[in-house]
Amino acid sequence: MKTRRAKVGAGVLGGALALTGLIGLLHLPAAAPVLRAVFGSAVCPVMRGTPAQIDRAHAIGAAAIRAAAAAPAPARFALGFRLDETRRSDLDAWAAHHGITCRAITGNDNLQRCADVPAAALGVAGEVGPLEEMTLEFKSTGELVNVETLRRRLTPEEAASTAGHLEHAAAEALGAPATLGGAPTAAHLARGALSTYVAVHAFTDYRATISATNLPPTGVMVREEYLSAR
Amino acid sequence: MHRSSIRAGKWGTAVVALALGATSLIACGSDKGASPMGGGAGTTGAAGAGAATLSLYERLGGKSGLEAFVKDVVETKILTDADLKTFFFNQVATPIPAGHPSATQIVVCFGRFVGAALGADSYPGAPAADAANTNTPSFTCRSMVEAHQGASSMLHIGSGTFDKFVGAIASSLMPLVKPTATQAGEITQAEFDALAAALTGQKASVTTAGASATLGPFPN
Repeated sequence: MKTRRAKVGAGVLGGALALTGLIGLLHLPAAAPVLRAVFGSAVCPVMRGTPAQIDRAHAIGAAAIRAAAAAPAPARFALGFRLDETRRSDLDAWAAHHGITCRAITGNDNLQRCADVPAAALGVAGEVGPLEEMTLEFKSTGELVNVETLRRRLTPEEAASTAGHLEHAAAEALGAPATLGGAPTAAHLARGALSTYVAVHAFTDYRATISATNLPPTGVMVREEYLSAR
Repeated sequence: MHRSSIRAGKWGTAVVALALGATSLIACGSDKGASPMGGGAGTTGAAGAGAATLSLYERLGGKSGLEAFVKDVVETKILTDADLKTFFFNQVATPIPAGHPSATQIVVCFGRFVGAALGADSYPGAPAADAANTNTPSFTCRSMVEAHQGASSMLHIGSGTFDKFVGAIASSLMPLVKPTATQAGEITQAEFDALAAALTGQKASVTTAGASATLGPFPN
């Protein structure tokens, strides 16, 4: 009886040690291809964020934005979506209607990335050009809290024009930006690496950010962000 | 090299590590180190023109100002970004997994790191304390170079993520640029350019070959 118990104990201990060793080995850089093949990612699979963690991160950011602002926004533009109201089903319907593909980021359904979005699908002026991608974040309770767009590989001229148009539209609805840096000109954006134009409209319940950043060698990236700070 | 140039170059390098290390500090690996400048920190040299009486450290608000800058970037730029926030999942977990710093501890480490690069603080210094981080109430700040190596091996950072991250830093710094930066909260264009060069110069050491060239949200 004792011998059997000892064998079982030794087996369990050996198995635990082997499993621990295997997990340790999988954390080595050389194991990255194995992880990628098995989990579709080279990163430790237990390190993925959860919807609750994503919510918490947004809440921290929103609280900081609220604390630094003085008044609620006169409008809460979000490319045709409605912050704190639009839900995943609305996004799915919009994407299907326009033939746009949106996918969950890293398996998290609350973070959706839509690729190659034509400006017309968002009802914005054609002169700002198509979006390389649009990212939407939903709370775990289902409401939209952030819309972000990226246009990359632009020339300084294209980026200056796009950022200028976007900021002009934002200023018309929201007033002058609370924070401004650089200038929406080709000359400024072409100065060199990370030459940036940024305009931030910050309120107690909302933030709109328009930025353009030179990122050699790929070109200038124009980013829009429309975020709920409630 | 002019003294102010050296200082600005070091500052730029420090903030590079600050920015890029923000993600790697919490990497899967258990990298630890001591040197704030490490072996991968290059100076950029061209900064300093136009800066006047107040030193860069003073214009950045000293220890409290640096910590406030880092805190603001992390909270309002990184944690609000759908891609970048996922690198900080441990900091928003309850409780924070053992061995990982809290956001407060990260802010202390980065502020101290930049201060040390400017000759006004020491790094890693005493462990950063945060009683709220119950599993790791005392966290020893890590070498940024070690953290970067951890990042490149485990976080699988792609060039798209890198670009977006440095873009967030640039959008926080650009509003500080003034023609003649003489007051608190101001930097010169030359200081910005030096920082930009240092930031972008870290790309090869931070990104992973084969990672997504577009965005690679964690885990990629």
